Amino acid sequence: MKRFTNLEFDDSSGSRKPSGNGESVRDAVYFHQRAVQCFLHSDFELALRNYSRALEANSSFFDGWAGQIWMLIELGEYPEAMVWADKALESFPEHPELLAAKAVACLRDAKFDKAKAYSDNSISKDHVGPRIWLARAEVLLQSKSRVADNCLSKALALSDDESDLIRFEAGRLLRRYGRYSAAVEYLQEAVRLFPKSALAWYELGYCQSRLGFSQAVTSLEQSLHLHPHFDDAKDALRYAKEGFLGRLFSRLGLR
Amino acid sequence: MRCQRCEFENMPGLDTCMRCGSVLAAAAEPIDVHPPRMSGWKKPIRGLFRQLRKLKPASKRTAGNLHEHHFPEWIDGASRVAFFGAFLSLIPGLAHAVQRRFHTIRWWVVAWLIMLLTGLFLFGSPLGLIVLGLAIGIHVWIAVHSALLAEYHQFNYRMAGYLIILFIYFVLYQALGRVVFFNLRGGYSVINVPYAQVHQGDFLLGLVSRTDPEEITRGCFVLVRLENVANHGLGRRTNTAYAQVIGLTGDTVAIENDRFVVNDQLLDAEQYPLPTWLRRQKFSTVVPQGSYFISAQYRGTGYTESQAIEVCVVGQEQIVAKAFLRWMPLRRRGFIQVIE
Repeated sequence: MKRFTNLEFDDSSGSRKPSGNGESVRDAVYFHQRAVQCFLHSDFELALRNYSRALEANSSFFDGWAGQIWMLIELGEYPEAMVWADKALESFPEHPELLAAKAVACLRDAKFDKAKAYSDNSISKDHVGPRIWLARAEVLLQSKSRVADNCLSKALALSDDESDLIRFEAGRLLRRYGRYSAAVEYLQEAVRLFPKSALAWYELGYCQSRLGFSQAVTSLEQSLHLHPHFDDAKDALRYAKEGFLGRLFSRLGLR
Repeated sequence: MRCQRCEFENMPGLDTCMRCGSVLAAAAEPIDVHPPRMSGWKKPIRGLFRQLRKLKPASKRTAGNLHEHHFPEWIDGASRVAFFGAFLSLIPGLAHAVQRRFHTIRWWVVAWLIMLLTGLFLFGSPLGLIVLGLAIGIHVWIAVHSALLAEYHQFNYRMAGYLIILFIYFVLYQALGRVVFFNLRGGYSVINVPYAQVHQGDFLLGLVSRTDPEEITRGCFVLVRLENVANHGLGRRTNTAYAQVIGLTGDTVAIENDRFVVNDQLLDAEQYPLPTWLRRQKFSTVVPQGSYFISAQYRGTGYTESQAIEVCVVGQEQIVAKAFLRWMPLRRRGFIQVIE
């Protein structure tokens, strides 16, 4: 079964089979879809809960485990993500995506040597998927290596069934490491693919504001329209509205 | 039994997949699927530790990558030498430019410029010295982190590297200061002249080019090498300090009623105050050719007339600069009023 074949990003286009009484079957895949929707809505906490419910439905559902780890990383709980990755590795020994997730958790927790080691390990396995290459790109971006771009290309090339999400993740990654102009290309594509994703609009707006584009306000307002309690978007919008001097100070590194 | 992960059809009764080793669904025991969570209070503490970890010197891994991918061929060989780090850090941002870390250049350049300019602005005060020290620290930091000293992993080697580069930059800053501001000399005042708003301990700036005999006038402040002071044990200042000129070549300087008398003319005590150590002294002397009679405050009392004259009369060669600016304290910064 491909990982994202049954994903629904638009609430109106339900493709899940209804149960006998007309409701969707609440299995692991259903909760996984809900989790991805929550992630795109920038509600990482709820996404984590949905991944847990997916695992309650099927504890051998790999995407549930991987999703929990990625959400813990998004929530900044890196040691917990490491613990949970170790637990997942008991069920899925030497799984490259789990090793890649550990690499990212270590990297964001400023344990660079460990991150490199986990990334090396993950990439040496068979069936290396796009997320492994994304993690590799992140490790290399941190060490300012130009090879990171090749890893991103590799990730995109391998992402046949989840190319939309991978493009979005690539954009987020580039944004995270300050490569805003490159990130904008991916994120513009992402908002086209996920027009109801507050996170995608926020990421795009953030990059645009850092580049001094006036469209940033529109993007961030759209993000807040989709998710009114999105604090990061509120901050970014405040920054985007600061005007020329605010942006100038930012460009000079004084902010 | 089909494996959920690799879809391999396993024999019934197996706990793990034959092909990939995954736990098979039927064999899996009920397991906790709720991950551990971080307490809210731990987040800032962990964040702090994370920031501290980021401050750790770049590891060999990073250095290896940088050498491997970014350093031009001609630099790569030279970069093996630890001191090359110091060379790259001469201009903050240069090392980053070489390593193509362009977006971090501005941080270093701005930080260094702020430190340098603030240090120069406050030069002469303890705070100014601290800030200048921080500017030097930025050089040292870049030197150590420009992937050159990363070859050394042991703490003692790294510490030695820090100290050596710190010493190099300390000497370099002193030398460069002398070169760039070749005509300027700073020093602390050892005389209290309220009329000119110059107090003991003020940091004055003087021009080296204005030490010719025609430039030195009565009442001006000159930076003097106080060699005789050390010889007589009158003060701790054995180096240079700013003192007031009282008598010029050929003048007759005397002390009467706790005031200076020059060429039989009583000088104003406001403009030419008598230092404490010269009070109750009564002497008269003629300033020899190529010398000046200077007034400065020293410690102690009770020395002979000849000792006092020897301390106060300085040769032209001992004059280093003539003061024109009160630099410190900040609230009294301004040009020194010429005493007629």
